[in-house]
Amino acid sequence: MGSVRAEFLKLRRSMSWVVVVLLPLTAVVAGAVNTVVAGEPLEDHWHTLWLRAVVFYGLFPLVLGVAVLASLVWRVEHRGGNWNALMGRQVSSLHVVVGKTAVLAALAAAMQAVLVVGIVVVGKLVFALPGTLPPEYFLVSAVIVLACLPVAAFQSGLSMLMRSFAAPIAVALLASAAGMLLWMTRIEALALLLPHGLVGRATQMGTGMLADSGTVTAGAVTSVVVIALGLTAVVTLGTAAVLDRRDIR
Amino acid sequence: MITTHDLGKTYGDRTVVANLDLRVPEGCVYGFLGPNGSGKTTTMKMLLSLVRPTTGEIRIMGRPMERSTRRELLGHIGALIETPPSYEHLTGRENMRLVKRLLDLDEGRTTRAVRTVRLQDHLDKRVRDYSLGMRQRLGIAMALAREPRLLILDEPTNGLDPAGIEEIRRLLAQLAGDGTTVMVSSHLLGEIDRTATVLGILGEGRMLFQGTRDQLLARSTPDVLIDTPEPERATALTARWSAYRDGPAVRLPGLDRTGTARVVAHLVHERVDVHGVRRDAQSLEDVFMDLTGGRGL
Amino acid sequence: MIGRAVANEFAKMRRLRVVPVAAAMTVGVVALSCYALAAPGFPESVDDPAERPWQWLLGSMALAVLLVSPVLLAVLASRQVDIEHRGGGWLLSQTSGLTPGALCRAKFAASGAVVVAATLAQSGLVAAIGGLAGITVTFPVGQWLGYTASAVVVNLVLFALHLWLAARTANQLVGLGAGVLGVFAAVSGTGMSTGVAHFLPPWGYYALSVPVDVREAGVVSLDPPYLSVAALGVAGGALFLFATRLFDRREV
Repeated sequence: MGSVRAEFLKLRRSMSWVVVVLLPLTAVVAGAVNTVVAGEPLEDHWHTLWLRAVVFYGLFPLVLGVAVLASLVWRVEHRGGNWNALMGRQVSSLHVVVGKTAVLAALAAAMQAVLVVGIVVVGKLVFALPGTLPPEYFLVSAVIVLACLPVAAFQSGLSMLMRSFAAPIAVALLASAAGMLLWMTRIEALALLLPHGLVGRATQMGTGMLADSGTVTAGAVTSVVVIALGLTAVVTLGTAAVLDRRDIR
Repeated sequence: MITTHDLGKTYGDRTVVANLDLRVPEGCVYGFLGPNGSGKTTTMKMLLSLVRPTTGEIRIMGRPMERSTRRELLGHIGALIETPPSYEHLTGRENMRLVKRLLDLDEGRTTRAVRTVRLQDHLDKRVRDYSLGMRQRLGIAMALAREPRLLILDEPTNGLDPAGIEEIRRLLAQLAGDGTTVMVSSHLLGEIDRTATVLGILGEGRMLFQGTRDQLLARSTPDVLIDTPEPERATALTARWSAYRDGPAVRLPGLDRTGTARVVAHLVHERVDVHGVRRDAQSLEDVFMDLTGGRGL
Repeated sequence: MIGRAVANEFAKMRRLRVVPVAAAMTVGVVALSCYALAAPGFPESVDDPAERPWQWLLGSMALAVLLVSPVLLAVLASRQVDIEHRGGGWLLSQTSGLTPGALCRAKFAASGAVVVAATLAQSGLVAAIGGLAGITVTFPVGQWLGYTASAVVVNLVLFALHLWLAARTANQLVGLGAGVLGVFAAVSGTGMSTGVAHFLPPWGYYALSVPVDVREAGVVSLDPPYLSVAALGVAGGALFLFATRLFDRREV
């Protein structure tokens, strides 16, 4: 647990909160503005608002946000002699890799919380929707956070290997473009196994968009969660193995 | 080569450099000394017109250094400020080629510059894999490539090991021998003590001293040491000259010639045996400590 | 001087993976454009002028450009400028008589050429793929070139903006964050009336340039506001010149 706390300390003054707050809020605001400007009412109240804010967010920006955060958590290590300090401790490579992914998971959870709060506030204050966000979306939120784990692990691995801050983000963009293409062309099995595509499935849940049936089913939730955990384990172990084999420069 | 008059720089209400009258004679190695944060880098940046002075003027090679003239003057000035510049993803050779093209130089000059810093065997390595000393030498080679009449080096020995420092020292002497004027800054006196022919000492943005080594040594009076078999009694007797015991001897700081004569006369009068009276060998270090109030140097 | 500086910028691109990033932009756009080919009913429409198969393809390319370009241009600009921040390149150039502003302009000229090449390649490749997919309807040359020109202008303006941002702040988070948020602006622009999209420069102009619209009746061609795009290009260029001049006055 100590190493995770150390990772959070390293994030101080890194401005990671800008991504965590601004990105989901932009998604909510864009969804709201588009609704107002296009003049199309929220026929299905909360469902429509959720759909307009979350589906596009999950296809592209969320993945990019996680990628930016991954570059951010590794940037400190690529500077000065930090690599040596990081690896010079009596800590296994797996520990280091898991520590970074854990931080990213926490940040992804924070992003989702901001998103949910943003949607509730906008729904209540701007559109005066009755009631509150349907409870199934809290379950979906948890699934979205879990679905972010494989992306977090994958991008963290990339940012570990690449010194560059920007290059892993370019990779994330291409991978999420591929994921989007797979969803649109309905090659779903592949889309689910691509970390960047899996996030898309989680954000579609309950919206009836693309691959979704429109209701949150136990089967869909289970499959996304199982795949997410499995992918995370595979990517994390793979990254740790790579780190074990690499010389520190 | 360089003269400044009343040069000063103020950021807001923080004065970094004030009333600086630099005199860097042609063909010398000018050691620009001062503790960290005393304004050396700012001064050098002003000389290169990278930072605009708040007050005063600068003349280099007899011409005023301003934004309008700097392009032309910079063609004759090589500079290495702060960290050595380089593109880490490129090799040493590629980095030199960038400098060559930017300044429109011929191949011979860059080759000579690289030879001067003895980097010719490492040119095909990426700078990322260079040691600190190699980076430093590459930076100097980049500054040397234009075969400048004036070379401005900011802390070139920073982070180098003793062998590297010795190498830079030899390089500076060699360049000065070839007629290049070199201005080199350091916060460590020992590093440029023997190479510099003229010294300028900066403290809190003001010039504390400027002149040759000998002039500097002459500025402060070395302590007087008196050898006597009775140091205890002798110290007590000369207490009003602020004497104190120093091993088997008595040490008297800041004593001039008449003072020395008086002390000796007094001791002899009190029947203390005086076996020897001498001036302590004083290092430049001590003079610095005096000048800078014991900070840094 | 500026000519040699531009040549140097090309030399610095070695091993910076500039070409792969630019290629990624092209590949991403081409791949997403191909979605149109896989849409149901497309294979049957290739010979029917009333179905407007080229306009379908052009529309999906325009959407792909709007999704992919903002982030990849941010990546490209960030890498180009980061080497100067990390290697003390600003000072090196300055002591060689090349001001920071001139260095930025040289970067724009060199990398901008790569951006233009990538944009033209996208457009050409998508057209070629349309041909290979068997579209026999006459190729809408004017419309296609008009869109391509708009995309070049918007890409260059956005690239200049990112160069400026990256030169301004060494923190790459700023530029890349702006790139990601820009995707929202670009996508939102498509849902808005053209009047509103004008106020989201430069990202909104991707949406403005989209030359077709999918309505219930099928694909219809629009009359994109080329003048607005041209105005963006002029204003962007003037601002970039002005802003890089300000760099020259900044002290290091």
